[in-house]
Amino acid sequence: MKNFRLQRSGPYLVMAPGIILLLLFSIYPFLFLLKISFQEYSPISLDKPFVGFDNYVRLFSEHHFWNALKITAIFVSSSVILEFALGLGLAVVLNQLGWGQRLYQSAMLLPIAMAPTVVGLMFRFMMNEQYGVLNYFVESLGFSRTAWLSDPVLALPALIFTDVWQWTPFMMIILLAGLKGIPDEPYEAAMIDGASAWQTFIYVTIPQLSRIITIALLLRTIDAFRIYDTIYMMTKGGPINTTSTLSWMVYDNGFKFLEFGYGAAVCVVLLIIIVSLLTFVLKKVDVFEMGGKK
Amino acid sequence: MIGRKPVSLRITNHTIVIIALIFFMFPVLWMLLTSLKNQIDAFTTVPKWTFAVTFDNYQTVLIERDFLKYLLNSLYVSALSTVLAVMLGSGIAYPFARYKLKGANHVLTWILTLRIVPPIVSILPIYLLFSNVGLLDSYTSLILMYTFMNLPLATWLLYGFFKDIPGEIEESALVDGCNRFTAFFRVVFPIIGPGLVSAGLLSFIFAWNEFLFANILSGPTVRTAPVGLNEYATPVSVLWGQIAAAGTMIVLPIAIITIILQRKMVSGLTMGAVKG
Repeated sequence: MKNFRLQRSGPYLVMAPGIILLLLFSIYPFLFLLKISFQEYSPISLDKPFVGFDNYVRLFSEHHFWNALKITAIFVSSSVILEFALGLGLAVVLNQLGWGQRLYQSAMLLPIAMAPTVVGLMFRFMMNEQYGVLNYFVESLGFSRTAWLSDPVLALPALIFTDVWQWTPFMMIILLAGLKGIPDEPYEAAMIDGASAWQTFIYVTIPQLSRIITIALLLRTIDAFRIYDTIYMMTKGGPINTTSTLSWMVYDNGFKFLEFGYGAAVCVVLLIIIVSLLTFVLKKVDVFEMGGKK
Repeated sequence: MIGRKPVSLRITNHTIVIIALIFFMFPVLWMLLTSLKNQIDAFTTVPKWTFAVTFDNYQTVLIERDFLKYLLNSLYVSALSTVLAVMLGSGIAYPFARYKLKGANHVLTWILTLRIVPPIVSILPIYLLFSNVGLLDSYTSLILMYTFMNLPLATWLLYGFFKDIPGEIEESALVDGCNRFTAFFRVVFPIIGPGLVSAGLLSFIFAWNEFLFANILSGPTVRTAPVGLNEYATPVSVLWGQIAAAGTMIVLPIAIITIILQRKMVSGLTMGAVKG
């Protein structure tokens, strides 16, 4: 009887530590964040008065917030689209390669595995005005030297460029796995029907890949919202806030100005944006195939 | 597949791939070269491709600037949190894959949604939490954080692997006199080895590279390598040779593991996507 009891509760006992950890570090921060977003909360002052919606009102009336929202939108959409386009192109090319595929693939894994802090610092070094190697290439092409990261117009594109360098390989590897999973039959049928290479790509490859494409785009979008390390290393949100994304704004307000309450309000808004974006996408596509899988 | 590709197409394909390879490898190579240059060779308007190789940067960084200690801190924190994430992840994934548990779908979806939350969102409360219990600048805080960070992915990857094992294998072990626990360790465990390696590898890389939490939660005692690296990039003087050397030492171990375990890495990265 005792043994039977243990058998019944066994699965739950085994799960408990992991579930408790997940609950502790997700529910508590969220509730706490929600609470202090209605407070004037500074870690160094004892008085933490409730101020109602003041933080949110201030947020929506501040130019800095709308600017950060715009920059986040530009950063996320341009890097994800570029990474997808380049990644898909490379995956198709690599898939047609007879030999050397594995070698290329293993080289392409390197950017993904690199610490974003290292990537950020190396790109900052390469983009340096005086001794950056990028300017050497630019000059030998006949253009003039540029201070990429301190130019308000170029800093954001430079950041996107860095992100594209690091994460295009990720797109490529996922899409390559998808390409390899497509059976031969639809291609044979397309060939019999006399479809051109381009037609085959549009009408056979893309539809067959659609689910993986959606998931790859989703994963990269989620991650692009997180960008922090590279901004920290390359621009620190500058020049004049032109690379200050929402995540950077949270960090700035929290740990530079010690306005935790205000930072928390930014977090809540950021969460709402991400969750509504995902709900919208997931309503359109059954990504997890919850219906069919279980 | 269908016949051989025309020669012109094959040449175009190889050209594209080689250009891509140069583009994606150049920054890594440039870092390695910079780390082996002396101060004068590193700071030139026209890049120097040939130079006298020196290991001074490595020596300075490792010995005078405590980088060895930071690397060991990183190793300790990443290894321990990886073991924990894989263990706790198996603990969640295995029962869900093996038993019909009520609400399994909901719990698994909830775990997956945790990956969606940007880490920056939890940094303010987590900082206050650890500072209240006096755990700032401790290994415990970083290990707990990284375990939490990697647990959703580990759970989902392992869930996929456990699902693929037919229940009969275990049942026959039970008939042969194993109990649930010994059946797990003797029969299931060896089969999902590859899954454990995939989940462990990704967890280790994420923990090793992590900067946001490390920067906020760690002080001088448990400073990890990415945070240490940042110290060399002061606004006043940026010591690129030393940064490149430290950067190379952060990347090198990961690069070696990635090349050795290439298949596991690819299956880990794609399984989340392919299997959902």
